[in-house]
Amino acid sequence: MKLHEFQAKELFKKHGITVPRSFLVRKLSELKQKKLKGEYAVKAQVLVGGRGKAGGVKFCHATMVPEAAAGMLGNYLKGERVESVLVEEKLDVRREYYLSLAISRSEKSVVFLFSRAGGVDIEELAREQPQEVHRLLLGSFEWARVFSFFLALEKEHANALTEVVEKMHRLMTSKDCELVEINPLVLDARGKFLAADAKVSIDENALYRHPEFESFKGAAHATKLEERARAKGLAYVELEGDIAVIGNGAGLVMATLDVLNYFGGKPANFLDVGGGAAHEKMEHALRIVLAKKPTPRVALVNIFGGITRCDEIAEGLARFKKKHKVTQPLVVRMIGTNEAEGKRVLEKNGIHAMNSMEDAARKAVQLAGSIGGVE
Amino acid sequence: MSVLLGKKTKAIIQGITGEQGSFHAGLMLKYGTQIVAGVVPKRAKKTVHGVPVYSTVKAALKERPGVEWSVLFVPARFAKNAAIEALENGLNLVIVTEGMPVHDSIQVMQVAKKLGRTVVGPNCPGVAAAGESKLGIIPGSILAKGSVGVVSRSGTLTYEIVQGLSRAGLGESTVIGVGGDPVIGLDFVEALKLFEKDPQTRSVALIGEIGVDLEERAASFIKTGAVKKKVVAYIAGRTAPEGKRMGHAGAIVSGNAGTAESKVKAFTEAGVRVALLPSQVVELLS
Repeated sequence: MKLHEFQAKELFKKHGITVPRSFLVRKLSELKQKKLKGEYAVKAQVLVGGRGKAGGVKFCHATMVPEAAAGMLGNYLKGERVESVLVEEKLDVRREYYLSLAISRSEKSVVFLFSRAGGVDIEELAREQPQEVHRLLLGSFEWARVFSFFLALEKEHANALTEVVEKMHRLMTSKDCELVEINPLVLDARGKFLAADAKVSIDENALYRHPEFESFKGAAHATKLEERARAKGLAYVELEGDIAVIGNGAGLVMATLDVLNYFGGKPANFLDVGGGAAHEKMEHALRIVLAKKPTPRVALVNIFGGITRCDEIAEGLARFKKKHKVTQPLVVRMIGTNEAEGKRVLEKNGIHAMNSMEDAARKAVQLAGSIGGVE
Repeated sequence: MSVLLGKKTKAIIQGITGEQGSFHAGLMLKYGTQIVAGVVPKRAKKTVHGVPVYSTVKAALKERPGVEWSVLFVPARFAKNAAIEALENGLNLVIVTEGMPVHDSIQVMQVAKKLGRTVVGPNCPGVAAAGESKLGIIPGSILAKGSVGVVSRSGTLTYEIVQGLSRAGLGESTVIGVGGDPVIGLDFVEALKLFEKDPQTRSVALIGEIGVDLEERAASFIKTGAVKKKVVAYIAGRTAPEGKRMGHAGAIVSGNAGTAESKVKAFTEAGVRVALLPSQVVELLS
């Protein structure tokens, strides 16, 4: 779960990392109560990357702050609506650094990345000037190793930088972060270090031990249906096509999308019902995938359950079809116990029962095409 | 011979009294797995399917010597401590548990590395030696003893491909589900090393998906010439949109990293044929 800059900066403050003075504005009228003077940075609070390049950060004089804020609030930045802006004192920048703590999946460890070229796109820098990006694996926080790392790179500030990393590391482990990034960390004219930007991402699997983040929920770019599915414990992703897709297991559903594409179909969405596909879960799943706008032309259900009762799933699907007067064709492929009985129930109720995932995909593509076709 | 486990391998189940734990304990026993004990901290039952239940791993091992593996069905929030308990008592682990916090997984992997133990998972279907024994939740009905070593990041997609191999008469030596999380224990490279040494395994089916760089690392390992056996791959998620988490926490494409193209390219350069459809895995192996 990505946090907004202002939320991340609140966390930084609590963990002793200095941030510039700022205030958050949700409505333009809130600016009237503020006495502004000097130079400011006005920053759109969005989660999409590349905010600066897309015009989401404006540096301006106090008198121009309302205009800059008005240009952002309520508008869309790379597809994301700007709900608030952060008005921040402009820093007197002497040096800029890049610092981040992330999780290295291949090394199964926390990794620290550092660069003396702050404020840049780190992935681009790593590609073009890899010698400028320095890397250190941190099993547990080892002050002496970090200190000597900085002694070799930035001797003058080794102490202060080590202290910043120590605070970042404490934040990362105590709050279950997947990422803590400061880009840039600014050294100002008075010799102070401040986090000019802040990126924090929290591990969603660990939210149960951090109730303080409850209010931050409501995923970034999630559509209404994506949120509804999440509330029911279903993994759902919206796509652009006209064939609704339900399956059990992320890999199998991804493969189902690929197979559909292979036969020329366009999936409308991706829904993973997960383990133990009970018929209640299946009913929620069908309601969600069919509620997508524009309405899908066909729904494809692909369940591979070693022990799943196919007759139960079939009866659930038939009931759902009748109850909600589903007019779109349903194509179902199920593996499990009582397969033959399940198929009989499906066919009796006008549901297409297919033997393999590829046959089912072909059938769904053919049905979507015969009803009007993918343009 | 299969890899990691065989007919005589003894295992315990942590979390055996839970719904999942007791259900799959029954299926593992039915398949012939030697489940000799269960462990649950607050022991409410004395036995599950006739298997004695203890409150600590230590107590279980004292009564039931010769155990090599523990299968974890413990809820995510207790999984780290349960896993470390098993490792410290000398066991290897299959962690079926889904939803483990990533910092917990990192700690478990560091303990395993220090103690020289094997961890499969978390968030994985487990390991099955076809016709001999299984640890985890892979359905016994789809397995057939044969010559293909299967290693996969997915659950049900693995079953799909395994069933295809069984029906085609190829069968499997061992099926390993490494898990769908960002941080996992045993990976493709380690599985390839095991299969290369195993005389029963004649070829390998590697089932990957988008996100992380497990497949790329497997490809560079194959490129070194360390794998002489035939390897065929399938990558799920070729058509997944960028930046969306496709069900598995590890299955997310960001920028150019973890794309299906990068994986297919890496495999092709290593001389590994990549199937376009799941059913083609069987064709390419035949």
